[in-house]
Amino acid sequence: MEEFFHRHFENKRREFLKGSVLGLGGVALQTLMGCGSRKPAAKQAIAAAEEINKPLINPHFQPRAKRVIYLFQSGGPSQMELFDYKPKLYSMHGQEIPPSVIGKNRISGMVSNQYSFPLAMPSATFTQHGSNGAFFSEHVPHIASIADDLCIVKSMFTEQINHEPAVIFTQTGHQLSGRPCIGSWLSYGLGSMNENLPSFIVMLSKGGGDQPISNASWSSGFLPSHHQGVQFMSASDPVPYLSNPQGIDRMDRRRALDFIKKMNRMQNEVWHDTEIESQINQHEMAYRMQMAIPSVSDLSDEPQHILDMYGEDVKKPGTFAYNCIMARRLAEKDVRFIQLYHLGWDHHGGLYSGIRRATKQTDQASAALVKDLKQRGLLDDTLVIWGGEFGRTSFSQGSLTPEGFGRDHHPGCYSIWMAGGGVKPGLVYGETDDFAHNVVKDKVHVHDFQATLMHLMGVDHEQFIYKTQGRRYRLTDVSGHVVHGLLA
Amino acid sequence: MTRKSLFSNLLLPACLFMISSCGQVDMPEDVAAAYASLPEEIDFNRDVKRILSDKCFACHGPDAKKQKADLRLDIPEASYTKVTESGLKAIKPGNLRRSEVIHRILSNDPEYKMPTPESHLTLTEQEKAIIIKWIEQGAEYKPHWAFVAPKKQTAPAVSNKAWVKNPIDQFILADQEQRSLKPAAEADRETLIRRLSFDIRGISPTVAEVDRFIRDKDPSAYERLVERMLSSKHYGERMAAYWLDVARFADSHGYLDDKHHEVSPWRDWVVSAYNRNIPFDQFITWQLAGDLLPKPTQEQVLATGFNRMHKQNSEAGIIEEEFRVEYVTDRTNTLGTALLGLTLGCAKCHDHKYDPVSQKDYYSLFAFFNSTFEKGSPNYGGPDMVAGPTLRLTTPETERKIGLLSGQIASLEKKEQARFKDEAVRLEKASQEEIARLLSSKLLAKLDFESIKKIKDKEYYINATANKLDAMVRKAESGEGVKGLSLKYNDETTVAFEPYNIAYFERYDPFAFSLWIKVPEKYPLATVFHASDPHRYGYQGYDLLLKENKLNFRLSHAFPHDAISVFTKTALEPGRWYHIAVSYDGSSKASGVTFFIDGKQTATTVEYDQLYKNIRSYPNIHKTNRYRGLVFGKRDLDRSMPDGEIDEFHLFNNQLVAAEVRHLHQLKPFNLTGLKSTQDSSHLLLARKSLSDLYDSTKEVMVMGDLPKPRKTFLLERGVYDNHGEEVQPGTPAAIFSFGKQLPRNRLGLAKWMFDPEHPLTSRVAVNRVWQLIFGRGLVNSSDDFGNQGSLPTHPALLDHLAIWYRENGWDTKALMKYIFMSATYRQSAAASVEAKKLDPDNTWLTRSPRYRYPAEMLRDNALQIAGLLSDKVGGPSVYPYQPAGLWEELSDKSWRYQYLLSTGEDLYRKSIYTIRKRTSVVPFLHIFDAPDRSVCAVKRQVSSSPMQSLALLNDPQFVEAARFVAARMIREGGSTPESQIRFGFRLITGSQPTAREAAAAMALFKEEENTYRNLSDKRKALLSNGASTIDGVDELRLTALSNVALALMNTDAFITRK
Amino acid sequence: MITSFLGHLHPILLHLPIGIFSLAFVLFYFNPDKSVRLSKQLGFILLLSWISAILSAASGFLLNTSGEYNEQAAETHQWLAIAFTILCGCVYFLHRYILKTNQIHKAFQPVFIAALIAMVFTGHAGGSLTHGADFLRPQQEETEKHVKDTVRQMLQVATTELPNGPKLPVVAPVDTALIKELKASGFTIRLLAEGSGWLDVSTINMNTLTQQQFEQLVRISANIYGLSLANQQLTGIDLKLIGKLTQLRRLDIRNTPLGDSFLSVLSNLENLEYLNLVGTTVSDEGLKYIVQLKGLRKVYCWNSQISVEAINNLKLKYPQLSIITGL
Repeated sequence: MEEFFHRHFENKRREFLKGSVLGLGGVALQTLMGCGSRKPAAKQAIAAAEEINKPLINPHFQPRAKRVIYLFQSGGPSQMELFDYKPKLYSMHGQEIPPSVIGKNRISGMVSNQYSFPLAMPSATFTQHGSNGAFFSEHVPHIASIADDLCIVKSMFTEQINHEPAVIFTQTGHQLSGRPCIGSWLSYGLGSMNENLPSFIVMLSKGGGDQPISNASWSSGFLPSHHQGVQFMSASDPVPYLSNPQGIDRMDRRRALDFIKKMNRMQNEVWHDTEIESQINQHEMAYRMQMAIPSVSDLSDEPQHILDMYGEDVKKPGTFAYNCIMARRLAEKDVRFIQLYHLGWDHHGGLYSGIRRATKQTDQASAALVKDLKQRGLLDDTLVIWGGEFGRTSFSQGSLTPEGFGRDHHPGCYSIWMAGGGVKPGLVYGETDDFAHNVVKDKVHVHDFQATLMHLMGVDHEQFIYKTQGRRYRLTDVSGHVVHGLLA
Repeated sequence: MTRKSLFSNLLLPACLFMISSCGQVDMPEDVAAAYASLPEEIDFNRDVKRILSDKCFACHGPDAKKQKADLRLDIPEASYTKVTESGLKAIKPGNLRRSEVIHRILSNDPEYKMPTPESHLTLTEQEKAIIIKWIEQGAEYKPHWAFVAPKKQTAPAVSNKAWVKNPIDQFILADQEQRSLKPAAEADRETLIRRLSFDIRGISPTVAEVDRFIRDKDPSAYERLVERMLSSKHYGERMAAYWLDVARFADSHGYLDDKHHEVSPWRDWVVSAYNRNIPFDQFITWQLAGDLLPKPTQEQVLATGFNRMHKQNSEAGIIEEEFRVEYVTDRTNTLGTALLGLTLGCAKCHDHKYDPVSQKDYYSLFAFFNSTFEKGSPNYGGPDMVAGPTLRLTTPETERKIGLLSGQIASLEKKEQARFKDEAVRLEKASQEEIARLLSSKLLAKLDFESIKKIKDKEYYINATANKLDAMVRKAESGEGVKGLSLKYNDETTVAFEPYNIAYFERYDPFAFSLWIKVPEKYPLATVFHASDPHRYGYQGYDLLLKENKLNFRLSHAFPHDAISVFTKTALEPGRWYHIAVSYDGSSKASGVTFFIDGKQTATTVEYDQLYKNIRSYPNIHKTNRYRGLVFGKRDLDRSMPDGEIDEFHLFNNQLVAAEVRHLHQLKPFNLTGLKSTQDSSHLLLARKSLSDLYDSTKEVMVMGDLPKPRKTFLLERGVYDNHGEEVQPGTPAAIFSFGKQLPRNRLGLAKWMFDPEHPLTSRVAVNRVWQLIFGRGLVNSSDDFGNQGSLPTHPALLDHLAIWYRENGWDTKALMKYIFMSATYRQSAAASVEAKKLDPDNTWLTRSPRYRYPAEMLRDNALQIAGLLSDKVGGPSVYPYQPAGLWEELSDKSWRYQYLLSTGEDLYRKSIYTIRKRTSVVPFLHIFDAPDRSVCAVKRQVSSSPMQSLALLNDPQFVEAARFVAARMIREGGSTPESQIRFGFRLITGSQPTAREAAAAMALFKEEENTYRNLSDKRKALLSNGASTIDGVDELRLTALSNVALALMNTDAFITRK
Repeated sequence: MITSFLGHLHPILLHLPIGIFSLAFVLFYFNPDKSVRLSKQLGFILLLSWISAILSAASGFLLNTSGEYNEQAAETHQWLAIAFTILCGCVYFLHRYILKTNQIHKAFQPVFIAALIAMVFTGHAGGSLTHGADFLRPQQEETEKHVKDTVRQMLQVATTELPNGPKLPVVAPVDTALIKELKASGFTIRLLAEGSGWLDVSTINMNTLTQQQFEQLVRISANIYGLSLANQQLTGIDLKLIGKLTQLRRLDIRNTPLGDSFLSVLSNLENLEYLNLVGTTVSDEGLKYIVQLKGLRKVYCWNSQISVEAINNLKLKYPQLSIITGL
């Protein structure tokens, strides 16, 4: 029995071993080979090489603003004469600015030849306005009257001390030209709402005796060139070649366009080229623009009391007031980004008369624009921004005589204000030191400002990239974060 | 059970265990699905490199500072050996389980996953599958295709041999047949001649040329046509249009003030160089280093203007070194984009993130261009002012005259020096009276600063010679002088003579002055007096400075490039009076300046001795800081001499000898109101004057020119101009092609390095660019980036074949273009069936001739050409075509802002490359059609489409006028009936015969136009008045109707698109 | 999965071969009765030790596929275990051979000792694997990792919806073909945000609006977040449809000829927050409808027919409602 038992056991043992080892091995092998019970892998088409550069079409998240009106005060408005009230500057008038205050701040070449840097008393008196008691200078009474709608940022700072690099830095996030500006990024990213008007319009006004502005500030950089700012000129045709030549009126043009469409379609039977269809669309949009733009710039339908609100320059093309009412009319037509430049704030000398002339040209119209948008229910989703490319020095440039003194450029701190479009109204954000020379609380870098602007338009500034020359470019380059303190 | 069976069924599976267990890892389904569809063999360059580069190199690439977990994946030595934190190697060839990379890319845990979520980079399933398969197949790295020298290629065999016309076709056809694609049929003759005419000459062929070519049945007709067109002078202009973009050629500075400068001679050289078909290696060597060639010709030096075309900044208040570094950076980046196809600019602030170009490599290339003798803020002012270094464009005739005059002057000078030496010896022993008489005869002005005279509200120091030329005083103080009172300077002091009436010497006028001076301290820089423009306008004039208290007398036309500057060796000790005298002999040479301190001649050192042009400053609208004559004290934007004092100033209109100086030093009297001797108009002075006028009249142009001793070059930390890191020597990135030991370490050496037969990039980039000019897209699509992030060549073998062919054929550009034009690939028709388009949607494999919109210049030139308006004058200064009014006016408020001077007559119709290119405001018509503002080197233009283009084509006056002139030609040359005239117009505008339907449509439009305008004569006259030129002797109604038809036809695709 | 269960048996199974084999070893060398060397019992013990070695090796291997353990150390432990298993097998077979030939095969002892050494090293390597926890990637607490992931997901969702405003409910997105169709008919329709179901509808690009076009909006009525009919004449338009847009938050009817009768249509729009009546013919009468709108926060009545007094006492009664009338 024992033998039988033994043999039986022997076989049993062997069978058991073979079965178990192979069994175990088999199971192990199966998982190892990764052949696992493969679901009939649907033959998905392998994702086409991901198309890096495509417009967003829709914002990343719900936007607080649909349109932006940027009132750019080119030349560097002096923060001490407008919004940043510093009693100490009155008491220390004529004394040397303490070296500790200057610190590592960069000094421009204009004053590096000066031996002394005397503090200069602001050429303005200040009063408090609005429910939060914000200080406004006597030169901006109209802006002061809408203090409760404003979100003033006193702690802006930038990195460039010369005009052109500073303007281009504020507009494109980079100090040298070649990159797209904010308007172009938004026109490319979110597209235009009104098909008969460009999505990004630029208007210039000259305050007299200021630095020139270059079209690099509204260039589309490496983005497709039709996203560059369309400059509305104050001369006859706001847009180059808008109106038909003499002897050709709208009906003649319609005949020509119908003929062109017919010819193009006939020829496309040979070429099958999608580009031809796009040409036909461009012709039609041009035809519509020829109607849409003149109707915007014809102010005859504006009631007199509205015109009076903007000041007496409102009817003169090429002035800041005219450009402001045009900005409101374009906003009513859902143009995405309206960029105004007013040249006239570069007061290296003769600040006394310069500040008065510049505010006289801009104060009333800026406030009128905000009030007009608000009463029409547009301020709610239109972001208005008022500011320049840098501030000015608290010490005087040149001799300290009341009418002669001026201030030099100062990147260390400057003030801007915003209204509508999701920013907190009636807020004064950020602090500067007693000399309005350095920021001491809630610094806002130019890139932070740009990131916040994009955020209000529903765009995440870190995700919104354009790849060229092997690099992923962003408006805010490699830095910048949203300033949540400013959001309503 | 024998031992064998036991062995087999027990041990065998165990062994299987072991082998299989060492390499596998489980893949998610969708990656596995992608894996299954991958090609058999994964090639590193074709498939893997672009993924690693784009998704990994940002943190694991060549940029040392930014390498996370100090892991590099771009070189095998690093990725095979680096032991990651998990104990595994980053990549273990052939073994997925042991490669950390695999676990990282397949993980979903945001903490462990690669690429990290923060980087906003993600890997698609296919990319993961490719990496997996690559590592499985041994993770073999290959050097980047573009950094390996091109090898000679044998043209591949093809089956459809009949189609092949030259080796190019074999390369193209082989790739097509591999993908079972077929080339398109050959285009008809009308299309071929139109295509060739645009590609070679930038304009359409005349109707006569087309007819002659159609009739020419000779088999070599096509080849002769190609040769005839390549020999036309329009070829040079067409190629110049492309090269001016590469060279960022523009008529203005570009930065803030955007001052204009005259650089058209360089453009004329580019046109003539292409027309003379100068070999490409010479063409580039002259532009990079013409000035360093042994005994360079004027043309070779003029060519170096290429590297002076960058933007320049003349804004007051900038830091000069910051922008000088910016100019050198631009030259380095241009070398990369234009000639090497590398985005070198990325390595300015940190190591290049994707290509093997470290920041040190960048600054080694930077060093080649860092020794240019230039200023960060260029001199400007009058039309005579050109930012140095410059080249005087003298004609042979002027050269001859200069030689003649110089010889004459040399002999006269020898005599004069002898005379002057005898005079000096004689006066040593002469009586005081005689010396006093001589001094009186030369005295122009004397200021003793004793008393101030008030006239109306202004104060004056009396000019003792009482010739009513007193010196106006502002904020002056006085101190205790050598004799009576002295003039003491503070920050604001100015004592100025009347400008232009006194002391307004030219460089050929001998003159002298003497004064007493006491300085309180050691000034780094102080201005004693100046009769010159300020710093920005090149210090035009003469001045006396103190640098570290050494006296410095300068005569400048454009300091420092065109000036004399002489220093005394001894420095003035503070706190004591010195008597200074300077005498200048009018020779425009440093040797002509003699310094006297305390009555004795003193030793001098010469800083610059190169004065050629006028030192007199002339008023100019751009000189907002006016010339104020001879002024003691503050100069605009410059350092004054605070607390310094001067006394007893004398000014003479001739040289002084030692004796006369001693007389002054000893304060001996002499008659102040003596007789005035007129300026001696000796032969020497007249000869010098005519030589001076000769130089003043020759044109100058910006060129390259190095300092005698090269500047030290440092690596700039974070690219900041003054943040000096380690010093570097001129050199090139070794990973691409190391710099030959025997080559000179200057730009000439760099040019030789570029054209070394082993160089992997130069010839490839060049031929790719020519291919792009013809086919609209290069064999390498990213023609400015051959690096890791650039696109791969669609036909690598063809690219290498052409690269070697170009080099072996002596870099002959016309021959290369002809070689391409003769290929069947080029002669294909652009028409393709819808199916063919589906098989090759982007025309990557050139299964048909490419279609793209003509560049801006060709659109405008062609419109003028078919209208018969185009002027074929070659070269010359820039012209001002039509432009909407007020464009430039808007941009600037400055008193000196540039007016847009619309050209008249022939200049209105010059070719577009000759039109003014103002960087801050490009002519709208060209800008709307994507012509760049040429701020930086651009080798490829965007092709955009926007409604602004339609508006331009429909309403731009030059287009409406051109249409009117085309209509006139239709009437005069198109036969008598409207049908034949329209047919002629159709051929003129579209380059082909209209089909019946097209002709009918055109006729229908013509009839509608005719009815509309039949009885509206004033509307007709209004239409015909667009544009400057008029037409007469033609029926008005017919002209109006036909010009509207022509304008409509010029807006169809057939006119604006290459076919 | 069965394999991971077996894998987890490894910590138990691995002790068997150690115990049994060392027993065999002790018996072989230290048992006073040398005859045991050739006994079947010893053979059986060797067989058991071999089987247990195989089982523990296999289970060890399965455990390792989960990839938690450090690859490097697991590798060495695994090879040593396999070597021990093979040697154990050889010892067993050699011993069977000895039983047959009844004398100790000269190779037996060295293989026997080699097997012991292999066992010792395997044990050591295995030990350092589990207890030498420091060089192992610390195995995170399962729960802690899980918590962090879910938090990240939730945050992600929140940001796409609305960073700093009232929380919008999620709504099913409308299919793109329908949106394309409505766009073709002239409406300007934009998604509120990427991936959101909410739509912003405007007639900015339509010169005139026909009833036929307007009716189409009912097909997306549940998704309309904002509707602008600004500057439209709205002749022949049945505006009751607006009442069906239950989710409407923003309505802009500025510069349209609408009046008080129209406002009655809005009664059931309790989500409406922004109402722009600038330049309409709404008068004091209409106010009674406006106050019924619970969700209303902003209403713009500049240039309408509403009297200043009506507005002032409206402001008193409803302080939370901001009524903007301009200057």
